[in-house]
Amino acid sequence: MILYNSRKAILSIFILCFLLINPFKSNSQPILTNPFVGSYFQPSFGINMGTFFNHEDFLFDFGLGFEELGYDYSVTFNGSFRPYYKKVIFKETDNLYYQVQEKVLQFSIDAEKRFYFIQFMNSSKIGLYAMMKFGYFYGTYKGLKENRNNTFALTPGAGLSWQFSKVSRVNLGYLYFNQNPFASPHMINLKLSIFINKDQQQ
Amino acid sequence: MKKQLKYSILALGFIAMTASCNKSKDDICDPDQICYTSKPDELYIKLELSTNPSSEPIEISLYEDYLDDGELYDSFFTTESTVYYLVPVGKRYTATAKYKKDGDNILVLDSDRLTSISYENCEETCYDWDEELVLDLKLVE
Repeated sequence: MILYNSRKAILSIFILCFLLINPFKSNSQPILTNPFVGSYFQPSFGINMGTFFNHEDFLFDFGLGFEELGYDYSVTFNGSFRPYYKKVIFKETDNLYYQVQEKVLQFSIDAEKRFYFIQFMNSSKIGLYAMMKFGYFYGTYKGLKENRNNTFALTPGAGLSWQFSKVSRVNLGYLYFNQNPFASPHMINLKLSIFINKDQQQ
Repeated sequence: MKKQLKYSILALGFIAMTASCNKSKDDICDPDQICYTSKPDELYIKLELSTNPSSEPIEISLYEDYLDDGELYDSFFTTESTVYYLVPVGKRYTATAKYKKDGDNILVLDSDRLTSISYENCEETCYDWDEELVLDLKLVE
């Protein structure tokens, strides 16, 4: 029930953000662009919020940091967490298993590069992204003081990126979250990024 | 574009407000409100259990603080599906239930802090608490 409500809440937030931010300009001319060519250095600050989930797990992901809008890459500090306790069973010793309630957290530096190949006259851009989370992961367990499954881990991901205005972008793709011990590592990643664009007045 | 920025800030503000909403009992004055002025010394822990797959009584252990860093408070066997236990307030408790299944022992854990909260009502300190602290020691199917 909690999982269902969490999913419902994040979906509502994303839809709300999308409806409020999207400029509703769909009559622009699409232009094919070279995804490997940048324009000029445009450093900026941005925040992002998202989720990665599959049929066995659901995590929120929030971050802030550096956005480069000319060459389309970003480096952000992110925190990800499961917002509810999940019952898991693991082997403690021979013939003894623990059934505990688990939350997982990860703090990471996220590096992302985007390759836009379609651009519209209204600043909207569509392309692909590749990203990597360099993170520290751990699990907390009800009744156990010590955190467990602590590990430094790489989390790669890739998918579609749509910059739908000069200040916002949404990514939808795949994330390989292998360090999560009690769920499938194959996850869907949905992320909304909002950033300051100095060109927005032009 | 200023409009977009404004909407972005509005959207973020909405999320922040939704996330931070919390009912507070501070700064109220309602003379008709029931006010318990004595802090409770002891409250009940409710232990919810499954049937042991081996049909044997389940071994329950109750710890003050955590399993790996606490003290054993009490240990007993039961065949009941619900057990109530009266314990002092203001501490964390961890309960374990040991089930036997296919020759293996499965130790189910749950833990929480048993507390009462205080608030001011018409310059009087009142105490409030949950009826019981529920610890879920049910075995996952």
